[in-house]
Amino acid sequence: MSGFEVGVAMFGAVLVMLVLRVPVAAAMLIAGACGYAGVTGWGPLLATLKTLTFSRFSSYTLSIIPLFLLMGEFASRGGLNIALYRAARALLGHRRGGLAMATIGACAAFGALCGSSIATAATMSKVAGPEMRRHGYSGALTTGTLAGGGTLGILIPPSVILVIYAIYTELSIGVLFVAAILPGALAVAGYLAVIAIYARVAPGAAPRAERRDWPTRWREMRAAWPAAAVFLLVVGGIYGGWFSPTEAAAIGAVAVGALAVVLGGMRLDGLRDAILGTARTTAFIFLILLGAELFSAALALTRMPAELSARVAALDMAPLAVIALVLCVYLVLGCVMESLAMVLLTLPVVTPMILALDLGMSGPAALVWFGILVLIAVEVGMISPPFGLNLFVINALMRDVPMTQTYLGVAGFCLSDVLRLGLIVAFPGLALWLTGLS
Amino acid sequence: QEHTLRIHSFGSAASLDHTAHLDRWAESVEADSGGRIAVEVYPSMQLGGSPADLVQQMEDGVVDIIWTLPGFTPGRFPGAQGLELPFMNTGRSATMSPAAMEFVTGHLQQEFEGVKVISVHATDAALIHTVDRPVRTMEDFQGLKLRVAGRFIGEAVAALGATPVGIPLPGVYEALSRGQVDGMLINWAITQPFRFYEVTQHHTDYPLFQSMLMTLMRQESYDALPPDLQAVIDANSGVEYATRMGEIWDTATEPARQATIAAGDDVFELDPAEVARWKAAVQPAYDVWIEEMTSRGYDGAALFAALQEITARHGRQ
Amino acid sequence: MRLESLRARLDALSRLAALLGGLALSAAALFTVGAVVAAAFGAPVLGDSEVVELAAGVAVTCFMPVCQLAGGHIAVTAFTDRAPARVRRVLETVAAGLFAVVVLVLVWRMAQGGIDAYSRGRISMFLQAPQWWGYAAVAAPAALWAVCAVFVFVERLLGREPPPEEGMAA
Ligand code: NA
Ligand code: NA
Repeated sequence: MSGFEVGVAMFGAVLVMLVLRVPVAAAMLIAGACGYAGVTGWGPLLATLKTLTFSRFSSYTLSIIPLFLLMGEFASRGGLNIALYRAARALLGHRRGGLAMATIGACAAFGALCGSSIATAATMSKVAGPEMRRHGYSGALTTGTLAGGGTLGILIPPSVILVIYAIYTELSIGVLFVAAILPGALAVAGYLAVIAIYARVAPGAAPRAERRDWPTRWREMRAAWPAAAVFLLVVGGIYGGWFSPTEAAAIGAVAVGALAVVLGGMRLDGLRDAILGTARTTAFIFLILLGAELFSAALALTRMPAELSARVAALDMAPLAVIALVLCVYLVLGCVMESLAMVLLTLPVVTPMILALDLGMSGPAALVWFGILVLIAVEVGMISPPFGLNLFVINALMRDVPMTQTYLGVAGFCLSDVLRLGLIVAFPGLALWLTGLS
Repeated sequence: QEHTLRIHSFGSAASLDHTAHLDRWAESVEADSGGRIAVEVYPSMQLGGSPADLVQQMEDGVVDIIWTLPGFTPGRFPGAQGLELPFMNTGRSATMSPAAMEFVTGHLQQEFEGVKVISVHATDAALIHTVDRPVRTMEDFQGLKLRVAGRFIGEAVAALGATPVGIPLPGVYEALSRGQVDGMLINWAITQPFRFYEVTQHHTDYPLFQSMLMTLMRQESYDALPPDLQAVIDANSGVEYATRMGEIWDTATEPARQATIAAGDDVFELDPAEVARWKAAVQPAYDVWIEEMTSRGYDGAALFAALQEITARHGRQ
Repeated sequence: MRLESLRARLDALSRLAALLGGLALSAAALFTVGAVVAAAFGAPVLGDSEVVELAAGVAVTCFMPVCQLAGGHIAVTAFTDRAPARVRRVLETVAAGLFAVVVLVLVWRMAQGGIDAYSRGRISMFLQAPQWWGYAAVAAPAALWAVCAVFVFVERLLGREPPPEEGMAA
């Protein structure tokens, strides 16, 4: 078998195993290991596994995942998210889909600072998911909102992937952050529109609460202020430059834990349950991340991404058709790959291809524009049915929602993403106007 | 092709380390072998693990060749880290790289056992870049948090009065812009791709030290080649190769410096009297290194003398 | 009956491991808060990220057994939900067997990794902390993880898996 064929077989094997109920992490590890050994033999695979597992588990940047999950557990044990959602309902509950819109806002803020859409999806599923359900929102709209909202952070600074793309292409990080402003705003607007339409088409999915008077609103907001203050401390601390994302996660966990004890009456059994909940979620996310790493290492060894792009280049198509094809590849890769791995694996082969196209703009402008498109495509890949890492994570944390409902719920958000991709392809100015590049 | 060699590196495919070194090396070896050797280059840790795992991946035969820094695997190449001690450098990669090769192949055989050294070449000179406060005198170090990339240079920074902070390279831009650190010690060339001049303001333009870039091949992979193909590897490694890389690295210094000046930054020279004070102050870092080498069965003092002799001969300042 | 009592025992052990992991994680969080405060007062801690890394590695490994035993790893069931129960049972048994092999290989290689870290003297950059400490700390939970993976497979093979409500309630 050629490397290319091994790569194709790996994808086929993962998809077949997923359909046949093999857990996601195990499917990726098996396909990855077989692909790896298929290229190098078993010796190098067994040798690399000696350090791969603990290296992945003991990572400073990834430690934000268990820390934020612990924070989320403390918040729910202490009833802090209940207070937050009561306040949100008092303010927005009388609007159609108001709580879902509030969740989008919270996801955007949280995702922006945490930088990992998987961690955002997992944490927000724990914090916001049960509350939306409690207020009568349908499972489809709840999981769809969480999936869509989880991907927003990638365009909002500080975005880890944007920074890596900037360093790779030697573009200014500042320019890329500016370029992401309009697309990011479009994304939020698109999602809010999806929720508004959804709530109109299926009113039962997003029940309206009665309008509250201001004394009630103030009372609910006063009850929510400690939780809101911690959230502001964590978000503001990162934007204000006081601490790094990992530090913010640690501070958030400690502060929310203290609040849960003092205000929410959390005791030892609550602490135990919080840790056990964190443990289960952390375990399945990290094993998926390990699987994704082995899978992308094996895929790199097959050299399939490079050959695929060579084949695309050899097709000699119109520039826009090439862009469309490349974006489709990202959507497919997103089925089983983590976004950062996708970007690292594909940029070396894709960026020269883009620079070689006649797009009627300067090289830096083309790279900025394309970078924004890639970031969106990568995230859409992670929430597009039937396979998408974030969908699996959210669904696993919202056990009462069948996967088919999640697929239904996320469809509108994906559609809005694809529309946005189309808009930015058609009007590169959406990414470039504010940067002054052309 | 009859043989496939895999190169694993933590560097980005767009960096000078790939475009001028590893990719060219792969092409050159493939061509010189008449296509009998195929070289595959994997940037950005694409084959998994963290940079700290690179050496083990080579030793275990996961890959044949790695590109790494001695600081990534503390305790594995302490001798090579001696070349990175402050004021032990020539200031130019073209002269520091042959010094490094001479020291490594002549004095550190024990440390590099099982390793075929393709090249140990130096980065261009590393200097102090700060955000708010220029470092012109030793007193200016007081209270500064400076990002460093290794243990011995950390010792030197502490001896000068500042606090060393360890942050992985991709996080440094943000750490500087957020004020998590007040500055960093890093070479000129790398400030351009990372656009560090966007977040730093003052640059003490004195070559404090030079980091070592190591391209290492597994001895077993080398031994597995027939003599004529071993000769191809030999022709693409060694002192001359390292010197050639050094010359390329030196060409990256001036554009980076000019980009920094163009950004309106304050680039100034260090007073010679201060240089003398600093040199005297970093002695503790030397002592730590000598002690470390002695604990590993070397004659630490003699090794340090050899290091000084070799670097002096190649133009140490 | 013996299978049930074995599950109860493994359940207690894996919860204990998870709680110890939670302690490590909480300690890392408190330590980080302390380091942030110290840095704010001009005394940054050199190598604080190394402490967090070690604690996170220990915590994540300690979290594995409880998730494995509860069947908490995500699987996509939507495509086969309408298949006959017997087919689903066979599929899940095969999946559990594959998963057990995967975990056994991971744990076996991790053990070798720990031995290597010890014999090669791998240490961290700033604290000079031996890497084998981390591996040694997770030796017991990693072994427990492997036992749990095999146990879940055996349970399925004998058609004795616990009712779903005993499983993960995340
Ligand atoms: Na992501
Ligand atoms: Na972000």
